[in-house]
Amino acid sequence: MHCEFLLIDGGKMSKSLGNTYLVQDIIDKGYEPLAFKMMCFTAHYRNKLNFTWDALESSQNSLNRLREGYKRHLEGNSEIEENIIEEYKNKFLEAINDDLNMPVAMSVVWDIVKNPNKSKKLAELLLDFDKVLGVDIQKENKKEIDIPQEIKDLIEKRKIARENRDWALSDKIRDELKEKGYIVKDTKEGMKIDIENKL
Amino acid sequence: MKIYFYNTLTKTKEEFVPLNKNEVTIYTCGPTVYKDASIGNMKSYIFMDNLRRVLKYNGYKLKHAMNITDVGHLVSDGDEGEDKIQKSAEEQNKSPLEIAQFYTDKFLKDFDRLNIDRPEIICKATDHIKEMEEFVQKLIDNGYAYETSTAIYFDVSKLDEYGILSGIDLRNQKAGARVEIDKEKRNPYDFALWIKAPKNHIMKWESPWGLCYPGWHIECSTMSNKYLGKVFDIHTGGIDLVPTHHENEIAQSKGRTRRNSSKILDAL
Repeated sequence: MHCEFLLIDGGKMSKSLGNTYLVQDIIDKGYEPLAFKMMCFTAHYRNKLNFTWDALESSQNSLNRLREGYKRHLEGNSEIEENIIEEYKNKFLEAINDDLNMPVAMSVVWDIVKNPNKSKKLAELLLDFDKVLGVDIQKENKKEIDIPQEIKDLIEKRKIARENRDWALSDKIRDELKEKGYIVKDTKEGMKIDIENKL
Repeated sequence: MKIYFYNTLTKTKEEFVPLNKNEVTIYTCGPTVYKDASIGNMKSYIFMDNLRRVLKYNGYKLKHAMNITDVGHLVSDGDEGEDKIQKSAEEQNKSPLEIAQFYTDKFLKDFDRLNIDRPEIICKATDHIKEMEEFVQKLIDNGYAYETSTAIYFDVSKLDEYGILSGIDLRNQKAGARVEIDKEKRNPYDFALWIKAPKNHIMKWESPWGLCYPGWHIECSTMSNKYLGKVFDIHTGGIDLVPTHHENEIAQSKGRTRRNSSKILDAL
């Protein structure tokens, strides 16, 4: 059994291109090494996988969502029929036993995460699948920084302003936030807040 | 539930049935520890981890060996050039041993960071010099290897099916098609098992053929044979290892057992 190459930004990894990334580089950029493991599950091991930092970002988001989804099931009290659990389990096993077909196995995992009936039994099942994934789904995600209510209100106000395409108000609030030391960035995934270092 | 794996040799997905129904034997080609492992290298070990975990999830016990190459892997990946470990040691003004230890520790640290389940056996090439020497002797005794003034070579023409894994066809290989460093080589694809150490080579050992160091491929056949037996279930590695390293591993193991079409092939 042989594993295919990893591509970097669609090309080869090479010293001369300066793209020979290490696990340490992933950590230095603020991601978890396990996010890279999640990324590996998006392609079959016999296929090439294309690494980009954007893709790593979305793999980190997937990992966070998986852990969040596990937690939500753990806190839930819905009843789940045994045959539904069995079905999930069989699908997962069928995928991994089919020459380690992780993309298919992960689709079963996401089906469970998205199941609206939050149940401890589904949390247990995810934990059982983590024996195969090994991505530490019980780990707590990075805690959100404590943001004062006043700031939260401003962020909310700005969000509404943007939804209403009121750019003048949006910019005004942005400046106000900046004065208070909160820098707003608008990204594809939504608003992001950086806290200015005021030492 | 049945398990299916893709067999590089047959190029098909086959039902996996272990030789021993309770325990699966696996060999993985580990790193050459002369520099940091990249995330590209790690993709291959995440696959290895995946394989281990899937087999365990199916209730199997594992006996899995992974080598650490700390001698004999030359810069060219073939029979020419400096030893990668020695080159790195010279560049960093350290001993080969220090270099190997330093990068082995870093490599295994990455395993932990990626939650990679470690193989039961992690074995270093330099701990198996005597066994490799015996392996080479056995190949000579069996008529699969010959000595030149620079090395002991494996004679690939003695095998019916050299190239079976990667699809090299020896009949289409014209003599001199590859640049020949050693004019005493009988066939272009013959590869070094045991190399007579030039004066400046730091790592070398006394042997019946003088001060030598092992070729890159012999360690894997020696260690898999020692820890897993003549035949084992699964052999894994990166796709780049297919054309040379794994082809040569098959040749060595066939030469040792004198089984030209042996079950060894099923292991890949």
